[in-house]
Amino acid sequence: MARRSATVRLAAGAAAVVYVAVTVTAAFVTWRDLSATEEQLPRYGFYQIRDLRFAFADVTNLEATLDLLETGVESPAALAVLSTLSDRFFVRFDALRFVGGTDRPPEFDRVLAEASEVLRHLDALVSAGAPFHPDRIGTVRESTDRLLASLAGYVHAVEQETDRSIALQHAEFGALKVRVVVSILLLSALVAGVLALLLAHRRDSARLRVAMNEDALTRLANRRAFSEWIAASEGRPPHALILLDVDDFKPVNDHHGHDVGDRLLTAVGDWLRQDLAQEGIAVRWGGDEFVAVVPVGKISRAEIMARFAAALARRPRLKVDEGEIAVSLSGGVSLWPEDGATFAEILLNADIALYEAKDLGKGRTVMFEPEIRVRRTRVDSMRDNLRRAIAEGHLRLLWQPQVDLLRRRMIGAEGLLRWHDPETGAMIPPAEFIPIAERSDLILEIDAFVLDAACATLARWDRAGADPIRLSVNVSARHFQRPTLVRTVADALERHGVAPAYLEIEITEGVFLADSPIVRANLAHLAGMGLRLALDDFGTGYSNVAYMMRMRPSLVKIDRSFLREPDLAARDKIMGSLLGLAESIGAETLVEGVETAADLAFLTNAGFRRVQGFLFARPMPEEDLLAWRASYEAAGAIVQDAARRHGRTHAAGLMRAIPLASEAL
Amino acid sequence: MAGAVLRTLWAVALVGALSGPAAADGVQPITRPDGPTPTGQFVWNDGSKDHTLSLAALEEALPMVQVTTASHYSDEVETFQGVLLRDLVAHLGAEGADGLEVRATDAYVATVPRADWSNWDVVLATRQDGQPILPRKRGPARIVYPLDGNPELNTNDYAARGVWLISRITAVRSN
Repeated sequence: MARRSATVRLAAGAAAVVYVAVTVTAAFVTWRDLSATEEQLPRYGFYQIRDLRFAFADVTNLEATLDLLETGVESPAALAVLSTLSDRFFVRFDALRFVGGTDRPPEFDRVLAEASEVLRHLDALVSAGAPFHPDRIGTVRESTDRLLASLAGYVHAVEQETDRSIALQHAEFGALKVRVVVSILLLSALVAGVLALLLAHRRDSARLRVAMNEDALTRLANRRAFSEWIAASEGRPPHALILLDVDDFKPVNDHHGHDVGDRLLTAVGDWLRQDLAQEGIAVRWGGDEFVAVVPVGKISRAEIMARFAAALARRPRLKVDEGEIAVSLSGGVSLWPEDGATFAEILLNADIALYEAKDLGKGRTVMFEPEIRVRRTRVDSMRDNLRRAIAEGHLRLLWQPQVDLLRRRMIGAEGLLRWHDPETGAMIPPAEFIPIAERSDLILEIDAFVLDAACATLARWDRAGADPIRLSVNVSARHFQRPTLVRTVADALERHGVAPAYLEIEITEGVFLADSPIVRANLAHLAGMGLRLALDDFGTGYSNVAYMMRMRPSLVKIDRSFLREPDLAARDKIMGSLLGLAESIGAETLVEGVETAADLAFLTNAGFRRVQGFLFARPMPEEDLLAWRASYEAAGAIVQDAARRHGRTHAAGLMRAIPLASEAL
Repeated sequence: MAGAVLRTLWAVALVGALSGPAAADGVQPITRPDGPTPTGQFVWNDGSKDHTLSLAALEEALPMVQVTTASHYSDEVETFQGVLLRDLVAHLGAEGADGLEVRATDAYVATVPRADWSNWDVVLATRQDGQPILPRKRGPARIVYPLDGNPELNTNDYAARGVWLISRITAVRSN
């Protein structure tokens, strides 16, 4: 900084020196030129014409008088006239001598010499008196002739000098004209430059003043301006603060480029200024976050939310080459002074509400309530604990067997996650922590853990020489939106040397909520690797069934809620049609949550053969699973054998197998 | 050039500082000098008729003054005696004249406007250094402007009015 200002000072100094030098030189040159022109001006103009005129007149007068004298005029009066004439002649050339000054052409000296000659002869003529001798008259005449000739020579010299002077003046004046005009133009250019600099400086400082308080891109207020606004908030009516965040802004930036990203932010800024926050203040908080604070008066929280919702419905859409980007905004609202005494507090509350909105699934606006803060605190600590639990290995998988009723064999097992907290000794149910994990990238780590654990189990069994059991694990819908999923699965398989056919991935309908190319690519890749895909909780979501079917799942898992349907007639019909639907695409079906003998009876009658539930086994550690299979299949063999012997019905034999299954727990 | 300008400025400032032109210029009343009396004369025309005025009669009739000054046509300081033009005009009953047309024997003509004799002590000189002015000294009568002490008179316009070899003075009325 100091170095820079030194450079600037040096440049300014140099400029000043150049400026002074140029100015002095220009002034000197102009002065010299003007002086040179001045030198050329004649200094004897005023009396010139008059004196010459009288000089000629006097000489002609004299000659005329001499002519008269030659005719023989001899009177004393004639002598007096001649005397007066000679006096006048004297005065004339005496005056001329002075008027001549010092700058006369040399011809003038000859005039004066000739004039004094004339005067000398004239005086001689006068003093000789009458009668006038013709020789004396002739002498005067000769001298006047010479005077006239010298006068003519002088006139010619003056004319020449005048001509030369005029020509010189013209030449000088031409150059002078150019120099004066150039000087004036230069001066006016300089003045214009100075004025422009002044103006630019004024505009710059105005812009700087604005920039201090304005966001450069959106021209909304910046944080500094917001701080000032807050500082002056004393005595304001109640205000509502909304903290807005552009959903998925980074993908927009990545996919469409920063130009589009900037346009999006600008559009949001304009919308805030012109619509949502016409009154109050709109602030670009930073990145893709905006804050608007608007006066609300005495209206209810519901009315405030309705007002924001109406404004949000008018949020901008952005035209891009490929069409339109629907700008999605998540918002958190907090009221001043209802929710907090200071705007700093309000802003914090709005942030909590925004977090909640994002967790609930973006594109929505949440108003702050104290419970949200409580819940968020719990969620945050849960997340922290979960992160630690993953790192320290407090998560583990239990396996719940899946059986084929007809063949009386265990066909596989579903891995169910358990979180055992060694400090409290408590077992935290997945329903509590999975949803929280799913709202952050923690779920990705959990998925990776689950996949790895399943492959590890398969590998251990393989090493132990046991008959392989197909293991089924749940992978989060969120994970299907990541291009890294396939890599994670492949890594787990490779790490443990497990054949993909023994791994089944259960996906929920949530996967299909986002019909994105990434999701489709993940599904196709996994299927291509030879993994089995099972559609979990089938029938509970709201997605396009046809679309789900198109992914050709190996297994469709019918949700337990259908089994719990109280209207038995309806249950029969629905379950029957679900079975038909699955069969129509060549998928196996499996019913979850089989808990009672009545469930089992219904299912066998309805034609379902694959089941899973407490009636058979609770989830168990890996070590127990092989033993359970052995006992279940052995019991099944006995039942089957007995049935064959006693000719019992297929269903009754199954019924009897239940206690055996339960004993295995 | 610049020196002349400075000199003029200085002189103007000086004049402004002094009380009045009568005291500042080199014109002062004198008694009629001894020595030979001027013999010259000129024609006075009051606008209708010619009268011959002899310089001696004028010296008799009017108070005499002396002026010592440089002139437009000479760097030398010269001293003249004569009468004030203002007195002459009054004496001839020509106060109503707007100017005097002064003519020389060599046919030179210049007009002295009334303002000149009102504002300055313009002198009709009849003598130089107490003596009648010889023809070769541009006599017998001349108009002398008191250039010393009145630098504003140092222009070509006033120079042209310093007529010598006076042969005739005519009262001029503008209408």
